[in-house]
Amino acid sequence: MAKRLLLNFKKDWTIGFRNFYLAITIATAVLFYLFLTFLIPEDYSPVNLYLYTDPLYREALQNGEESEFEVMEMDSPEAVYESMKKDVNGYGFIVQQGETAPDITIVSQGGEESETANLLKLSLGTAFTEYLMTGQEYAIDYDVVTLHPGMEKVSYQDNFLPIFIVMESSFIGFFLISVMLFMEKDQRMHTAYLVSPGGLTEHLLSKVLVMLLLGYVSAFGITLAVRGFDANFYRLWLTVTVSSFLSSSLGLLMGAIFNSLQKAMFLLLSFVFLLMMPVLSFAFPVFTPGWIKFLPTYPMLQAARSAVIPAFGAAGFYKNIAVIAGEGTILFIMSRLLYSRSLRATS
Amino acid sequence: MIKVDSLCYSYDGGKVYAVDGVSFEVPKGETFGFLGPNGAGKSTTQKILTGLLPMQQGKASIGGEDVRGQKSKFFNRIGVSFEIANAYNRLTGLENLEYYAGLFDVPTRDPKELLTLVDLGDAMNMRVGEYSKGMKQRLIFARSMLNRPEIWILDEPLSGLNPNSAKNMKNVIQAEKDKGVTIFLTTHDMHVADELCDRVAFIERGKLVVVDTPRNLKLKYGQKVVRVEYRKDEEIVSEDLPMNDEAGRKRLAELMQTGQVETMHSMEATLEDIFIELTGRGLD
Repeated sequence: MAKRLLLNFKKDWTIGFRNFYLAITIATAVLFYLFLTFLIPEDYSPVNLYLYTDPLYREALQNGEESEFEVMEMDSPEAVYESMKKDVNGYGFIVQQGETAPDITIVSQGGEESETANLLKLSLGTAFTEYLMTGQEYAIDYDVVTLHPGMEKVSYQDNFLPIFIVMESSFIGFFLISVMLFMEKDQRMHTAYLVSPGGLTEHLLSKVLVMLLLGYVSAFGITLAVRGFDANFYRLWLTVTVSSFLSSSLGLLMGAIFNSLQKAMFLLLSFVFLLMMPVLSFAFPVFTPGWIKFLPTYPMLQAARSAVIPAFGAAGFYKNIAVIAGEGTILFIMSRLLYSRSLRATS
Repeated sequence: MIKVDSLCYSYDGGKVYAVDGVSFEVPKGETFGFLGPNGAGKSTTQKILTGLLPMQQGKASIGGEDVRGQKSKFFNRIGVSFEIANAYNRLTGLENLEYYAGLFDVPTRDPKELLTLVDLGDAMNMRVGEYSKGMKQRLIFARSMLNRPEIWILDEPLSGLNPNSAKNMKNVIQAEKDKGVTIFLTTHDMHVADELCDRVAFIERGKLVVVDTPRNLKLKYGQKVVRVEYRKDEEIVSEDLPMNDEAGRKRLAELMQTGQVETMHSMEATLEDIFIELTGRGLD
């Protein structure tokens, strides 16, 4: 099997190369890099502020001044921490009932500039002072909790990187692999293959490997360009490997079900639209309905973020990798079974 | 070598049978022609034999092995040339053959040697997308010989070829036949079948009409007639003279003595004539 897998890989890579797959991959990565560098600002305002206030002090907030923060009211202190895990540029502000004065906690990610925290203290602190002391200044003690000590500031550009790694580097295979299968069906190559000793598993797996190699070129190239060596490349390798496997398997499934790109187009675009939903949640963490977590791109984005921003740590990373790998394996087995049937039907 | 017994196949769940109770045997080393018009059931039978279509009813074996659920060992023994020239357009002719040769577990022939054999030696490094239809046909013909097959299944191997190429391919088929390869030739070209096949089978609407040698069929269904063209008063006159008739033979002798005979042809029936006589329709 290994010999035939290598043989199929050589053939598929040559065909892909001559169909400009590698050129398209590199050009897309370069365009994205230019987009990040010249069109996306390093910083973006307003910053989300996740706020929990004990009902006792809720009225005070209504007197707060206009600030650069986009305030998101949370139901509990835990909800503040949860939201901040998803929003790397978000701040947390928790006001609970204390013995003599409100017990205030500022939650920061770890990479923020101190001016931002001071601004936060000033903006919301003034509101509380005015409310509690009826105009007299009151010294409030702030407890500052840092989620990721030592973490550098995450730029808005860096936040875009996981999205590219998932939707481009990992999802190259989704479209290209189905196009490869449609071309083979169109040229009736499957009939020649079916009367040879070659197996279907290596025939499909070789295409997955081609897409994986393109994914590596794209993901490692863009990460090096944007982050330099400041990324966890082992996690990146693992993320792209399992994500590309899943997306290629999904592409194989499309190639197995349909006989041409035209027939598959509606479903392909529907899938793309659906799979992009977690990107919205990633960019705007307040939009995270429960069903979004069941889409494979959700754990992919989380894993990609842990890879390109190492300070996020490995919490949940391996669980996400296992979920993606598991889903990819199920899809590959399904596509293998359906492809076998579909080929004999079109023979 | 090939044994087919009561083979039936339907594409619509049994309403119409594309292959209906077909039975035949092809002994080792024989070239067996499977003749019929388009849609007669030739390709369906061939696809069942090669495993491209599942077996529904009946039995079929190649080289003693049931064609059902065959794995790689089986395909190492057979070679298949398709009517539709299916090759990777983005690869060169040589790359196509090298790739396919690598799929086999048995020693294969040198792709360059095969490409030269089918007159593609000069075009072996050209991408197949730039090949003409005839060149593609010759390429897949060469591909089917890579594994030195014991059983060679050819589907319209000469279609789309110019007369020179067709003659060359016929020579190649004849050479393989001389080596003892069993050949199953699907065609609607009766001249090809007549020249190459030891026996032919006529198939029409899924049913086998007759199986015999071309010579026997001609003797059985043909007429012994000689067509003579001769010059008379500066004009060319044509006469058909039956040879199984005393008057006809006498007339032929007379004409020969005049020295005015310009052409003379025996008018034995072609396979197509016999096919029309047996089925009521032509092969095209």
